[in-house]
Amino acid sequence: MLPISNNRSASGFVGGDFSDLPEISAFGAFARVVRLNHINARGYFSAFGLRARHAEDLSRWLVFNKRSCEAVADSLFLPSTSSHRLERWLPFQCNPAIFQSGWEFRYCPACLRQGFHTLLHQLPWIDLCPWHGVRLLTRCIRCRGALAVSSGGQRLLYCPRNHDPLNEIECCSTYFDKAEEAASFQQSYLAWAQAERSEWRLTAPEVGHTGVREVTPLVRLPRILSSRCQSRPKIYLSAHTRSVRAQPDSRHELSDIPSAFAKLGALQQSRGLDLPAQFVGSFINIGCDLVDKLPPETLSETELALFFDGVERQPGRAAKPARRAAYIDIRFLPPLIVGERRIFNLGTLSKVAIALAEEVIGTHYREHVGADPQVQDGNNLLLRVVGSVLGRAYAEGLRIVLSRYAISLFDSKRDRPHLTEPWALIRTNNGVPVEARLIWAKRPDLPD
Amino acid sequence: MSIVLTDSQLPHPMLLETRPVIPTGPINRLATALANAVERGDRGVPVTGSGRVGKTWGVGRLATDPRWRPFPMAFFQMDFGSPEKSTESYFFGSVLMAAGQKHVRHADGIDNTSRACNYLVELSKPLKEKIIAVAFNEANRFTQRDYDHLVTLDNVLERCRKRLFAILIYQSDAENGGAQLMDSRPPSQLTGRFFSAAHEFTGLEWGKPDTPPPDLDGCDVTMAFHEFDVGVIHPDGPDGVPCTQWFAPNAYAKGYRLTKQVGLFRNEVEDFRVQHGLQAVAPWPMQTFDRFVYFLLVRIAGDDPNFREFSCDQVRAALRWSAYIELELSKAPVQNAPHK
Repeated sequence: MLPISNNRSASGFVGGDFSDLPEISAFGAFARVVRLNHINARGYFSAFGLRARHAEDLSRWLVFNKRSCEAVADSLFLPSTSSHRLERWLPFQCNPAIFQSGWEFRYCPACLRQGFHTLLHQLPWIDLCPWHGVRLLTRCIRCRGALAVSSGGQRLLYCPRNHDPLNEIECCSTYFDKAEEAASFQQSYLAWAQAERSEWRLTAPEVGHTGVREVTPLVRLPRILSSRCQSRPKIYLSAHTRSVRAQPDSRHELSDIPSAFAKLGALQQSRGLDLPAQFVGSFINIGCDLVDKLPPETLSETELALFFDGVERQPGRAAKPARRAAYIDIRFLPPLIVGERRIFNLGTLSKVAIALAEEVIGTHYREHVGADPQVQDGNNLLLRVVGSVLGRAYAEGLRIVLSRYAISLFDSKRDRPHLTEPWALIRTNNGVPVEARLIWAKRPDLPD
Repeated sequence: MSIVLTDSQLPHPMLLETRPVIPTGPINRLATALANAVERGDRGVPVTGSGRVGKTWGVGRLATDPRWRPFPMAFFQMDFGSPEKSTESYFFGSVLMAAGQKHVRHADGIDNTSRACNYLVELSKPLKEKIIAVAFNEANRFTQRDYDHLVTLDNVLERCRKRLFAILIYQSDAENGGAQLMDSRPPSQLTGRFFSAAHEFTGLEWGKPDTPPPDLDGCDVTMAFHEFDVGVIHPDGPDGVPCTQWFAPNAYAKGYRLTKQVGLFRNEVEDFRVQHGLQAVAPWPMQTFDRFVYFLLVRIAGDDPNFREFSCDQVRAALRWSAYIELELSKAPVQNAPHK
């Protein structure tokens, strides 16, 4: 008898040939095979060796759970597990776990209809599918319901109203329509990301309330890529972002940077910070500027004196002192003069900002032995980054404390109390910081 | 048997575990019947035939040769088992198993149905064929419920904008099921789909005895020998030679061809059959024909550098070696005692 020579895919699953689906994600391959082979959740272990809790978001699980990702990749004969690592897609070094919070399955409807999903679609700085030009979605295109991405209840990828973003017949009967374009774009993107990753490092808030989506303005794709995957030109500079570059011209102005970093070394150990000379001026100005905006009779005479102590500048005309004793929580807001030093109460700053400043220093600060100008420039830049982070945190702390006594602050769009969390993206050259981008992300759990 | 050593890296196809399938008259007639059924719009065609006549070979050959098809067709071939219960799960599980699909626990009948249909649709992906031909070997094991599953398959594929063409291969001398098992005539939905026309697949037919040789058009046996004389070229490329030339080079150079001895072969076969109480003329099952040719070419001609032509004794020996008479007697009534 003739041997039966039916067409067999290596994985032994319908839709298990991924050769026309470049850089398909582990979850994309999994979902495609689950749907085309009608595998129910109870069969996941038998088919893929996959165990996950019912409520687990499998699109996230198959990115961050290495063991499960490997099991799925092995069972589906995917190229290699390393290609499914999220790090590969990031244009900066970081702990990829920061992507876990706020993770949502994000897809191109035209791609998913054909059973294709790539990790590129998960990146927050990508708005459009680069090869279909379609806006990326996180919910059902028809009813905005959440798509089922867990192993409990609904069939995978269906929405609660039973809309199906994947077309089984199309998946089985036609090849992916944009295979070449997808391969080409992703190749270009990955090459760019790899080059960027060798230079840039992201420092994220330690226990943050904001998600990695906030760093979107910090990631600047080359025009050839951004024109195809971003809906409109990004506004990189705003009140909530700052770009810092090394300033070799100001090298001669650098004074005693090592002692500044020595003082900053005690950020988390004590409640008071011996404020580095480089920060004194800006911190005093932050305090004085805000006090000048307060309505008359908000601060007592003593409190006003503390803010303007040792400063040539005088309170504004409207700063009429209140007739009362000084409040203890206001008295410790300005940097206090102790001998020749200014001692600053770290309780005014958010812990997130302090932790970030400390991590930035710990990661990038290099004690300069001798006088290497590049290292000096790098440390100078680092000091400005830390100054920005702490300065902004100080302004926010001030507003929060003073708003208890000056309700009118809530009327000001600029000065109303709010809390942000800083994210820092720092570029290094031979380990020396040469450029930094900062963003202060609004905490979504607090009222605007 | 001596080993025929060659300069070629690959052994001759006749020396492989599975020997080449040559085009034959019965395969051509099957192709015509299938093409007619497809053209008419049938969803299937029953192909009946005795055991070992070459039904599966024929369908396998047609699966690899698209020239006979009136429309582009994807091809899938499977064997059907004999389950205790004809369940949907078993039926479509068989399709998936034949397709080499991984078994997944906890899959029910509906899951298997959808998965099998998706598999068949995926078969048509490279060339976008609308028609998917599924050849069921041992369709004689089908029960009424299995035909229902076949209807389900047809319906689901139709929803996928595909057309099923089921080639139901029945072994007529081993039937324990099949269409005739149904209590009455098949319902119209089955007749209309799968039983509009039937094709009987036979062994190689002998032509009319008085036709001057070589009778390539009227005699399947002559045509099949001719294939060995001019076909089964080895090695591939310009240096390739036909099968007969490969194993009997000197005789071939002097003009010897297998087709020249068809008369002798026919006489020997007829005598052999009569000796065993069988009708003198009957179609030659492909299995024994293939063995017969193998014995003659490889074991006799291939072993003898001075080979000129086959003798009666050699032909008789080849017939015995091919187990020709055992197979023929198995189709005869029981009172015919086996040969001694």
